[in-house]
Amino acid sequence: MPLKDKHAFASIRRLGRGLRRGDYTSLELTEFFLDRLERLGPRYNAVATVTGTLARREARRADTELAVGRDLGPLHGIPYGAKDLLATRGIPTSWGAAPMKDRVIDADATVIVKLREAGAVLAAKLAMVEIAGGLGYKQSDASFTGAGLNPWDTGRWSGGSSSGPGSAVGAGLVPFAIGSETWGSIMNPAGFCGITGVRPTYGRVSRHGAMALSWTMDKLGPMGRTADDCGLVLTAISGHDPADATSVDKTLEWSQPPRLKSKSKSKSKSKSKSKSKTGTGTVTKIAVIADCDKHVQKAVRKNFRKSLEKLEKFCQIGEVSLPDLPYEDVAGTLISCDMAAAFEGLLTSGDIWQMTAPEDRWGAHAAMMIPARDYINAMRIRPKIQSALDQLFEGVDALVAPTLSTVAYPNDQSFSEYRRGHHSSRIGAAGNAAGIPGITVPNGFGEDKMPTGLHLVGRAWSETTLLGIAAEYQHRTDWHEEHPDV
Amino acid sequence: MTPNSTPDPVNRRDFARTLAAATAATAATTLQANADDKKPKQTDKPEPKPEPKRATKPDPEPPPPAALLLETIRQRYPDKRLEDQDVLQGIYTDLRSDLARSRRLSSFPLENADEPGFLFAADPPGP
Repeated sequence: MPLKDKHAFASIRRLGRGLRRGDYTSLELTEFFLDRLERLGPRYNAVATVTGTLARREARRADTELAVGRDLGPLHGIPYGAKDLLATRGIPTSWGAAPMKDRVIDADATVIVKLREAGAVLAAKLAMVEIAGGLGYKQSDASFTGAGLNPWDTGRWSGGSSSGPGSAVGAGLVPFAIGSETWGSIMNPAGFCGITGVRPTYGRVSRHGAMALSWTMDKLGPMGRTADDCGLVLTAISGHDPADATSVDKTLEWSQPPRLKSKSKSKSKSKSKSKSKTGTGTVTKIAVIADCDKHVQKAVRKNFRKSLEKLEKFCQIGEVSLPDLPYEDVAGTLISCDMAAAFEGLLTSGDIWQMTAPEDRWGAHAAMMIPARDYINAMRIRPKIQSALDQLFEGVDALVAPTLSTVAYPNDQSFSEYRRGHHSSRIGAAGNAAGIPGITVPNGFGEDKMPTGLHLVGRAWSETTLLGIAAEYQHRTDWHEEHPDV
Repeated sequence: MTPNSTPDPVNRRDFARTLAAATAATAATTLQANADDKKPKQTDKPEPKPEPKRATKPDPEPPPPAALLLETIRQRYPDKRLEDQDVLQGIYTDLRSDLARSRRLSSFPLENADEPGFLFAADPPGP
């Protein structure tokens, strides 16, 4: 069966069913996505390197294995893309930075190895903001591959720093991708491009072989079409890795999305103490972060409130206020200090002056002067943030807020210029400082028919709960099935 | 990392004045340090009598910390591109923002027993 455009936007399970039915082979599926990456990738500046030779080899192997009944699971034979900060043997790993565009690291990141063991097919290294945005970029043209362009409107940004994963999944160039988040780098492009993205708990996924921007804040996570897809990918990449001492032996187990019961039914059941599948005892409870939609675009607010109406069908909804703690100061100090230590060599070598964004050429200098006292004080405040947030989750399964305050920024404006007067909830900074998980799902369209998103954040290690709520939301809506005309 | 809000820019004229003061202060300190280094050591001789104090001008205001840090950056990472006024002003703005953040962190109430949130283990890391 010839592959059609609809396959470009199909879920992992659907593509897998087609493979196992014999509708197409993994090699045909891979050729289909390689063609899209080659043909459409440049339109969005989404690709750093198309890994055609490797992809065909891995696809042939998947076909051989599936033919003899050796089925490695739902990702077997499915192509994907990896943000270009993940090391891949024999293939350039650029970190989005011009001075490193031809650099090859002679090793595979653990995530790449785990996906290979799950039978997935690496089809491309995807573009990203140089040094994962750690140099302080202020506008979209901040990568040697060019500004990440949004598949819904190439006059707008795809988000960052996982710009390639955002636009590649959004444009149907790969079924899923691996992104990274230190502070917002999965949530932001997933929200802007209208896809689903998961920021796992710190330690859930090994960081070995990934560029370090901040050793205690970097997280790798899936970006895909649906919460279910992200659950499948996270299952494959999670778990302890001896090469990353901070990784934890907590492999996610996601087989089928659970159906969460409607609230009316759940209410009656709760009397008999039956347990919901989110594992919280009874009815799923969600808390809206107070004032989280106060400084957002009108359409973002409208979509958020409509989302709450949907969530209310199967969740109890309350409200909480975030404790007043210096989330941004802590997260910013940790990232700046780690970046200064990790990338001082760019200043001493002079390579920093080859960065694409003019502001990235001098954006690291000030951080070189931050005293150790600030870093240590940030690390002393951090446990207080963790405890305060953990307390918020007493009796609450997830916090909810709009993912971003605006739709994707126009490429001809600086970020601050476009978002003037708008700001997102502080849960982004708080969640990243605390190392707790989050998920974003598309929830409608705003200005100029650009996507908006719904952000759920949970207690440490609660990814299954978050994925369950998001999957139920997607079962009841079809925003995740919308895609741009490409 | 997703970009954060941009700190307030510095007035161009104020910045030029501040930078000149910092450069002059650093140059004066360097000259004094060099002069001190060149003075012969007179450890065996008695200390000379101090000269009577003359009426002097009051010391000028010291340059702000951000300007001194900027001067340190120029010396530590010398590059002709660091002479560009826009670049210097951008770094100066970042330094002021970092110093403001530092003050906020220092003002957060912490007890002596509040340990940093990182764990150090004596076990050597794996291969």
